[in-house]
Amino acid sequence: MKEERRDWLRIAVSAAATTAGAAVGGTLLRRRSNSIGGPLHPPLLRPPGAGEEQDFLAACIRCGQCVFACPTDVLHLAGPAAALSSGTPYLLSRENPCNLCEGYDSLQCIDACPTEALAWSAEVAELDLYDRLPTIRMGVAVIDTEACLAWNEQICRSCWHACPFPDVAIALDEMNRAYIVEDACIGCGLCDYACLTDPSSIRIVPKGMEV
Amino acid sequence: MLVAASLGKQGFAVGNLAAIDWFGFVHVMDPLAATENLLARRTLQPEVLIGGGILVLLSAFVIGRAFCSWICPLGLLLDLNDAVRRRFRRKEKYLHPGSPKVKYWVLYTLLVFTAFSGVPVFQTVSPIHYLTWLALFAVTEPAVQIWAASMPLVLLMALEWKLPRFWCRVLCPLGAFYATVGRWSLWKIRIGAVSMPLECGRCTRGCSMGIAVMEAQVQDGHRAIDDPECTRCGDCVDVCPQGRLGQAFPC
Repeated sequence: MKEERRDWLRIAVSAAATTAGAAVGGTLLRRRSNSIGGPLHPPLLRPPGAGEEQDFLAACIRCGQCVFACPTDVLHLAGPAAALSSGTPYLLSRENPCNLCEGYDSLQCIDACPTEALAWSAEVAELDLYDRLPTIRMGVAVIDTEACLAWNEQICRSCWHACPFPDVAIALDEMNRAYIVEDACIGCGLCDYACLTDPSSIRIVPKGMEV
Repeated sequence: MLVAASLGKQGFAVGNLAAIDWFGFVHVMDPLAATENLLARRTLQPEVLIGGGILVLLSAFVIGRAFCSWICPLGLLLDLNDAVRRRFRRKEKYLHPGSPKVKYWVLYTLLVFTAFSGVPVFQTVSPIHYLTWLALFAVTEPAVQIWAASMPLVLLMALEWKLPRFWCRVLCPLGAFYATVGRWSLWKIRIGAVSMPLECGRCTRGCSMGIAVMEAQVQDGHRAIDDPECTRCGDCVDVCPQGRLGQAFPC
């Protein structure tokens, strides 16, 4: 009887120690997951419908159904070296941008997600698809005016042609130079893909990484 | 194995072992992934409850811990490894150091860690996911990622050479989850009565999970193997010379 009680005591003490250790470790990790950047949390361009980065990390169960659902094979599933983002979807807009499921009546990745880590926000869920698309925030485009052809006295508006919201998200000034309207840019990366310079003069800064 | 092979873009099962969309309308979810999801985001999505609940109920009432030996691709990988091992060292007995209870502590720690960090930890570091990732998603990824996914698996396979099923028996929190839930399932290994019991002990030696099948189960007069470690793999059934053990449903 006495020995049994001692066993229980030992288990209880171990449980308390484990709980405390895991709680401290977890809290430290939460701080890291809140700040994007660095090897533990590399910034990735998320598919449309992802919320704030730390909410997305919590909600995504790393199943890859969005990757399979994507009609243009845009999405990748990050490997273990992505640390906190291991197993989560991302895209590389220069190689293959999100075309917002052109020709489909909904975004396939959002439909596929089993945990609603990718989802429309409640305010817009009832709207028509074409009213919902401008509410997407994957990131925001940034033009490198040093390298951009149009900003260096040549004629180019490839990004403006590629943009799903021309004159709204990418506008042209009186000299026909493109500039980004940050409040309207959804971060799909079609401009990054279309840019004629190499490397691209228009890059997407993932959400949460804006300066 | 069948499940793992049928996963993919065009398959009838879309996803990986964290969540599978069967035929486009049945969504099942790894119950541990669902639990972590619940703890990490602190809200319960109905989809997660249903998807994870299906497997919890299935495991609790029907298949028990059969996931470990019949579905888990890491189990398959380690089993293949074991086949090679046995070819070279036929006579060697299984070594089973380490307490199987450790994995319950691993599971508990992971869940607390997940609740505090807001990151589903096991989904991020699980070697089971590394393996499915390598099979399904690695083609387009940089080499450093493929190395990062392969090294833990190589390590586990090397460990397998000396300590069979060390991961599954001692460490795997998913196994701990299924062992907890699936203890009283209908599918078990039945122990039949024979007129002249032969106490050869091949079942104990053949059990990769380190259950003392003969000493603790058969000689104790159990009607079925009653041990949370039992994965219903049937290795003991195959080696029993008198056909005393059998897969049984319902038990």
